[in-house]
Amino acid sequence: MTAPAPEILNELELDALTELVNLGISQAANNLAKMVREEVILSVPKVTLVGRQEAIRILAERDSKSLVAVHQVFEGDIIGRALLIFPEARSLELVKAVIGGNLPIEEIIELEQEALAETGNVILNGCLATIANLLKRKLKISLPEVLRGESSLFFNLQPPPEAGETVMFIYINFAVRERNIDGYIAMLMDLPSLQTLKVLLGDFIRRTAGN
Amino acid sequence: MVARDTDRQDIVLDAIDAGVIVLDRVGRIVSWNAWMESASGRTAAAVRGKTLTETFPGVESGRLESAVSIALGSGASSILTHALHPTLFPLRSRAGRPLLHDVTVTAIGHQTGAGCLIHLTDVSRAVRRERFLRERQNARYDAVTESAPDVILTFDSEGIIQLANPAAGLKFGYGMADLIGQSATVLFEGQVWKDTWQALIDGRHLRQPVELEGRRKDGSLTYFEVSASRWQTDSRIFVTTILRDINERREILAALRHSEAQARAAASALTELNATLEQRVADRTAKLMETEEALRQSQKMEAIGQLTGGIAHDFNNLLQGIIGALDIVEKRIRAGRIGDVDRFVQGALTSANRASSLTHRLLAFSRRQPVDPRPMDVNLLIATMEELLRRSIGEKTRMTIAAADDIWLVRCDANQLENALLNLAINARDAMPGGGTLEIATSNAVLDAPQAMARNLKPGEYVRLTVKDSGVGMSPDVQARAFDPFYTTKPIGQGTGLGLSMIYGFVGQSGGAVLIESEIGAGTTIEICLPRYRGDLAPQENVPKETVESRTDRNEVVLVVEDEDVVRLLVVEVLNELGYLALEAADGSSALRILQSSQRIDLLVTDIGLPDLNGRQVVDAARTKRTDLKVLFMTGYAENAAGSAFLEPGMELISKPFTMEHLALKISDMIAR
Amino acid sequence: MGYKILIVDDSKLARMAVNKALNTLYPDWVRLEAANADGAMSSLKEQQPDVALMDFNMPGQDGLELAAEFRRLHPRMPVGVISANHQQEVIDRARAAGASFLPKPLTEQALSRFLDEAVQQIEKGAS
Repeated sequence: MTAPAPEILNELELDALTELVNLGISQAANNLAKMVREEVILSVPKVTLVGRQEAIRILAERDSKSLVAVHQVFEGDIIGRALLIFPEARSLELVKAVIGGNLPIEEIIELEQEALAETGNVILNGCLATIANLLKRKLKISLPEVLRGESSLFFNLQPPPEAGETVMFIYINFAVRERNIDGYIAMLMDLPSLQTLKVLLGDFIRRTAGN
Repeated sequence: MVARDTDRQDIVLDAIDAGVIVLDRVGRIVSWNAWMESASGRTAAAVRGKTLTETFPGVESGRLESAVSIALGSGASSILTHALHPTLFPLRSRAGRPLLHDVTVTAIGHQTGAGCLIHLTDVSRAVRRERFLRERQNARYDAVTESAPDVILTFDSEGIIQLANPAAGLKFGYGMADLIGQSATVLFEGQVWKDTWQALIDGRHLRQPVELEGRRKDGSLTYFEVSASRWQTDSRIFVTTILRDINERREILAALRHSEAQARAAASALTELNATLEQRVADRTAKLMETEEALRQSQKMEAIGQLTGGIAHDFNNLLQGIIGALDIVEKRIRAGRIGDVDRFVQGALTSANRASSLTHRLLAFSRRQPVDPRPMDVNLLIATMEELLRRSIGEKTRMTIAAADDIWLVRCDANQLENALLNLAINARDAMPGGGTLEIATSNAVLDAPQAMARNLKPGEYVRLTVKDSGVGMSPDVQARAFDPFYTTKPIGQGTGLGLSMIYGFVGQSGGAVLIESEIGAGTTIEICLPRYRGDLAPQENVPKETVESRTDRNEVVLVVEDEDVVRLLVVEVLNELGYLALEAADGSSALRILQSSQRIDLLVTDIGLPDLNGRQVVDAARTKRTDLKVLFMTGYAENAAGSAFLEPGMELISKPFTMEHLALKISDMIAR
Repeated sequence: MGYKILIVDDSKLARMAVNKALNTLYPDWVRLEAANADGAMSSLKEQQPDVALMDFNMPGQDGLELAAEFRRLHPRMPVGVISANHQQEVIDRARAAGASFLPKPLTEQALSRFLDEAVQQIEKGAS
């Protein structure tokens, strides 16, 4: 039940997952670029599969304990939660980057919640929908919700995904309008979902590379 | 049934106070509720079967289309907020006002691809309220910051500038828009800022304004005094700083410090300089005065030395004349031949007077006297010196005096002029070892410009005194150095070489000039020019030549104290002749006994030098009782005569030798007072 | 006659996908593979490929920079840059470097078009 993710996925499957995430994040960046009508410069995402506690620890080790997350639930063959996580201070940068111009801070703060929700929505949808499409599966993805707090809060949301001990942890770094934003996309999945993912990745590899 | 279901659905949808649009799997409008009809002004019938882009031409379609396609394709839900899409659809409220709205796009049904639902929410009220609150807040903030001369910056917790007032842009040289989003570290550097920032972020108050170094866009430094505070909205922390430009203050302070330091340095330098200067001047002056005094004195002594031989000879001659005459008188009286005794007595008197005059001058000359310029008649001075000069130059040298009539007055120190004349005479004598002629001449001279220039004087009226000899003369070389101190042509021991330089100094001080004309073998003329003095002579202190007319009838008593019997005898004789009663004492103690008695005494005539008590002591003792006792001191010392400072009221002094007339006049004068 | 093609991608799967397409399109071509820019550079020197295909998003030196380097050293070599990042700026940069842009996920069609053009270019240069 608590088997570490790397043992669940083999090397090629991880490679395939990374490639999927890469495609997903790229699509998210493309969507974001379309939205802001500016180039979004993206660095190579780093994908790791970690335990829930490890994910909490990684986030807690960042300089700012105060985090902000855009949260969406996905349902289908794979069930789980997707979180786009930033240090709180960076989230405002993200909003400013997306809004552009030089709005007064109060105005940005007012817009922050909604703008963050929409921006996170674009990124997460881009990423999740791309992966789902490539895996030839439909995912019902909920509307976004903005959360604030510490990392432990994000990984203990009720009701928890069943045996949701595995987190696909993606470090992303992108720049919009010379503002550099780095954060994480975390996908919290239960074990059956992970096993389904393994199957779907196998199918994907076969389709892509043949035998 | 289907129609009825659809109808019922429509009824429900129409009841919802929000926009509801249902799209089919290819994005065509299936449902359009009443809210949408009202807000868009488009009926359901008109839009059914169209796409959203067809319904709203010119709508910001990209984001909406991708949201629809992702919902249809993947089942992902999207939100389009008014925050990022302020005018997504052209919607109006029932009152016709712009209707602000959020849009969500969600897939319909568990199996996606069936269609999607677009849901529009009116957020106008919330947004307007927020906007109103913000504007009110901004108005308050702006009222303060917009016109503030101080820089007002608001930073977020990361130190990113979020708000900047116009002064901020101005003082840092940025456009205001450029400042927003910059890190504080672009403007401030160094530990002071780090510490200040940390304190602020930690919620500590700045105890006192902090002086901060800022960097302008052009890289130059600028200085501020910072006051700041932290504030919070929701969970966000901000720091607002007010920065007062203190460059001017710093400059003024620096300038002040600089000038203060300079002033202090200058003052101390000046003080030091003054101190040393004053000290130096004082030292130099003192030394100079000492030297001058010493020189003058040595000059006198030199002159006296020169005089001594001749004077001793002359004095002997005079004494010889007196003794000889008195000898004859005594013999004639003894022999009873008193007929022409008078002739010899007169001769003795003449000789004695001449001796007296000679010693008087000698004493007056040798005594120390301060430089005391007074108006004077040069001819008169020469006349009084004639005797002394003749004796100084000796018998081999003939002296002529050519004094011009109506000579102008000059103003100088008589003693110095005498000294000068004497020195010149002696120099002349020495220049004529085989004898010759010394010509002393005075004249009034009006110097024109060239004449004045030759003497380094201003043109004007002068009295010219020339001393001309027929001696060996001076070479130009010697002439040039003649006024140098310690320059002498005389053999060692015969002169100090100070004569001419002293004369030069004295004449210069008196506003005049000395000129040498000389040629080898053709003699030397020394010319002294002194400026004319326009004024009267100072009152003469000389005793008027008066004789006492008659004896007094009153019985005034005069006590005479004199250890020299002859002098005492003479004084008593004079007193008797004047009709006074004379009492005698030969020493101080016997005089004191008389003075302490009840004896009437109208005048005490006493010698200063007495064998036991001196005259002064006698007087002091006597005056304890006879406080108003009139006293006439007699003294043979010029020093004493000059130092009349000890004389109190009712005391006078007469210098020996004196004539009987002089004494009589003085006594009667004092008693009569 | 077959050409030598260098495939540069940090994803093994991605390289496999290109191989799969090549099996159909140009089975006789020699395939060289590299997982990063460094490997690509040494392969370029030692193996002297005729065509190069590279992923844009790679750790270290990215595909665009690498493509530019290749074109600098071999101005006539056909170079393709594959990226899931379809932003116009990326496409423009690839073209500016003298490379062709191929979107990810890579389709056989897109690869075929690129390789056909590459062959033409090589043969034109050789004649």
